[in-house]
Amino acid sequence: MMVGSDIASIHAEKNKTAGPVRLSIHGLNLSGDGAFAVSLKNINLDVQGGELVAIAGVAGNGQSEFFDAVSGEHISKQDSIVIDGVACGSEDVTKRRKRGAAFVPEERLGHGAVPSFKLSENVVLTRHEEAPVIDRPRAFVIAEKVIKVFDVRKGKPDPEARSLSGGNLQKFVVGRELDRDPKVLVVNQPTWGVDAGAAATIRQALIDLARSGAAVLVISQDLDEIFEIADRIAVISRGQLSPAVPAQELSLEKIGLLMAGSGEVSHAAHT
Amino acid sequence: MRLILEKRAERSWKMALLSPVIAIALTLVFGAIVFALRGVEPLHGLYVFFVEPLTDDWAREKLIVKATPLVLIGSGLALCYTANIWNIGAEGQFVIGALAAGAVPVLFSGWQTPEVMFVMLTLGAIGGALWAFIPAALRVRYRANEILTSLMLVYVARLLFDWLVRGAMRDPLGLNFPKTVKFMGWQRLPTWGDIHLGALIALIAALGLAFMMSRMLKGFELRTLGAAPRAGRFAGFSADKAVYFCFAVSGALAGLAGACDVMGVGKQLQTPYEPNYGFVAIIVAFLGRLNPVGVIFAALLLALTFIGGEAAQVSLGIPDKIAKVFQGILLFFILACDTLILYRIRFEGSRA
Repeated sequence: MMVGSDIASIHAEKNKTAGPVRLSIHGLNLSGDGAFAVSLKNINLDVQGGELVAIAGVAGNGQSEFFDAVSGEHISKQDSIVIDGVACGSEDVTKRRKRGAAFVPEERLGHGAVPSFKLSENVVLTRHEEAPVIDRPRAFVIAEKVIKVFDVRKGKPDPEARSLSGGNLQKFVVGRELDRDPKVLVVNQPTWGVDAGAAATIRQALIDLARSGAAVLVISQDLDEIFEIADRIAVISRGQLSPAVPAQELSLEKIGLLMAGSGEVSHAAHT
Repeated sequence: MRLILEKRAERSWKMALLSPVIAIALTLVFGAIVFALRGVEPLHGLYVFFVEPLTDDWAREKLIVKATPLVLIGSGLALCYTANIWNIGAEGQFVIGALAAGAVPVLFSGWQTPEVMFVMLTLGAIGGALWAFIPAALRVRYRANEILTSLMLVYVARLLFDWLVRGAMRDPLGLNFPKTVKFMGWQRLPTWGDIHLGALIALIAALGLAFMMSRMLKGFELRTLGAAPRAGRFAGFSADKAVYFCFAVSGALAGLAGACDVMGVGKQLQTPYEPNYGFVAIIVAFLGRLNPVGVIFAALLLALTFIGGEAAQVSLGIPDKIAKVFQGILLFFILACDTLILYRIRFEGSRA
């Protein structure tokens, strides 16, 4: 297939540019609170600058818990998360952002953005940097820039987040983080419920960010998407993460088996 | 014909300003009906209740005196409600503030230099904040519903006040009346006519909080946590800290209002002490659109219902409970009209 060969060439290019490890997760354990939460068991993963690692898995196998632990919404042991060489597992999300990390959660409305806030106010959400007084002109300029760069379609100058379509809001939420030039980017379901055009824009932006030297970690249920963008792929199943394997070495069948839980056996056999 | 509520794409900015006006208009209509049922000519009744008090200086000063605690408490409550934190017990924090401030003249009646004023005001604020700390801690530590705990503590506060003013704090030379000694010198607030220093403090507090809510990160944090708690956590804000912060600020302001009320109006503690400012301030906060500047105007309107109630009793022979009726109806219509901010009403005729 044409598409397949295109992607192969991207991978070849990637191997030359892989840099130092920028995001490192060591022995991350987290006991889930709540009836439907999944506990994370001894998760290990390194993501180098310049590469895009994807985590595949069926929804509800610990993806959102993993995202919360990496972003700092749930704190864990200090050395379980290392961002750009600094252990910060027990730091909150603001401190991790200050270390150059950026995060895009799964839910746009109510998690990544406040529905009733204008876009410029939603800029402040992840970019306040704890300054006591809000710099509104700056937030407005950033919003304008993101809207322009990512072609966010909207009805009026600075609309409320909830008035945007899913795809446009997702472009805004992703663009807001990319505009910071993050060294580490973690995205949960980047194109979930997004129209094809917006999805392509977002995927391209994620690849471009990785190629510019950042470590990009994408959690996704969409296997087509994962094969399109990922350099390496790991699979999460029941709170456990398989080792990340170069995408070329994986087939749909292999991933399917891992997603169904066969990774737990082989993983256990390894250790 | 069917009445349909249609969700708007965005908050209607116009309706946000218009809905309290509609609510006030509906309240007046309802009030007119109440007057008519009581056999009072409706327009005359409304005139006596809402307009006459504004026609002389004495009543205008009284209006500001009544509005002062409402502004102080209401702007603090606006903060809480914006953050989706429900402090319903400002009345209790108000009473404890009065009690804490009043303890100074009781213990040191000879201390009448200017410093005593600052000490009393500070104690009032601390007292109110500490009283508010109880429901805050119960919510954070044990997930106890703060609506219930803060409300129930109002009655505890009133009984504590009653017990102390009848007992340990009673004026020994007061002929056994349930009152403390009279406050003297700087134990009283400076006044202009009836208006006391508290009015100025309230104005500054409301403007300060308005700035905080619209321009400062703290205000942004509270607005975010109120609108979308998950997004608040994503932004790095702690919901638990916000609970403590909101209760501390609203409690301190309610306590300060209590201190100002006894230092500027009562000039001694006496029981029973149930001015209801803490409850009416809930209406003030909503009528003021949970905006501290809006609270200033809302407080003046609600202060008018207090004075109008007294006027209605004197010149129309209607119990001053009519004031509470107006206050309750007003809150009802405000909350109902707020539907219009997010929804538009459409009438759909039955098509042939």
